[in-house]
Amino acid sequence: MALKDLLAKSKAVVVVFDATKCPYAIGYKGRVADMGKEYAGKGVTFVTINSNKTEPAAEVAEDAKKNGFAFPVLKDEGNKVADLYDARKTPEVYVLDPKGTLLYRGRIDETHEDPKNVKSPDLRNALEAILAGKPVPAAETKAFGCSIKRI
Amino acid sequence: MNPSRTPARARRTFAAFLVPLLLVALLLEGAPAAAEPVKHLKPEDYRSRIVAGRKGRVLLVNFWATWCEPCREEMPHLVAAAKKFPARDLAVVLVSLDSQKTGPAQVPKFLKEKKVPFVSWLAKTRDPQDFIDTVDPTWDGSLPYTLVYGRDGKIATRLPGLQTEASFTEAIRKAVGAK
Repeated sequence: MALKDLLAKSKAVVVVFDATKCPYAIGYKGRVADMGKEYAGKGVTFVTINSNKTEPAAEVAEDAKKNGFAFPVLKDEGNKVADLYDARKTPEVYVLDPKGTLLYRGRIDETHEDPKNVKSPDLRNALEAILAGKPVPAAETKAFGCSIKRI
Repeated sequence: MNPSRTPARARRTFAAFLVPLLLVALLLEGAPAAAEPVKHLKPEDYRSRIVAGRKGRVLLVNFWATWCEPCREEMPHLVAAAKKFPARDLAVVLVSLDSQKTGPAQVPKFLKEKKVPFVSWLAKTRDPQDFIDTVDPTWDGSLPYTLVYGRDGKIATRLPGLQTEASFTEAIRKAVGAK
């Protein structure tokens, strides 16, 4: 799957570097699944990428199925994509416009625990701004989570 | 004067409490030592409680979490590196970024199991970015992360990511040796 094909048919693409075992990434699974569905209807495509050398493709596919990910789920063998993006953590999010320009990089929000307690929905704020044609209020935040296990 | 406040009455009351307290103390004596409870650290207290007051010695602060695999992996290397330096030269402090929910139980458990001889604080913040930016604005939030402060209390070396005994030792030696 080429990113340019996804970009061509989307108002924005959200790339989420994800993991199957990281407690932080696990805490966000429900939010990623829900936002993926919600924003698909608004022209935003979600994609998750697993770059961990310790988590094979079959495990990633099983995890995506279990968590109801209704969008492309990719395995980054040899962490080539993570290197290209300079992604370091899971979950870490990149939002691109149809030209491939980076509009937002960072975290989904400030807590991997109960989503009801979120006070700073940074990814959602970025997407709402992009869809409204406005500048992203905080274009870069610090993702917090597990390190990507590189080769 | 209130009769309950007379010295004789107060002595009797005190004695009444003392007997059960002594019994509890005797019972506890035979019990195995519990892991040290974790101390909570607000971002605004980082400089005053961790960095200040250690001038004259090199200070190594290791940021970690029990859920962080490379943090767990490097801990024995940090312990081995720190053993090479006397306490008059080096202080080591751990700051865990475990959650407030799981940290108070998980952090002391891990330290006790792995026989880690350092005190660990638990970052008390609902937004990790507040803590990260207060500690070091150049830190991207990846764990583990280690800061080595010189004798002057200023950051001498930043060690992002998984370290080895050799890399810890080199950073400490450099800071200890610097005048």
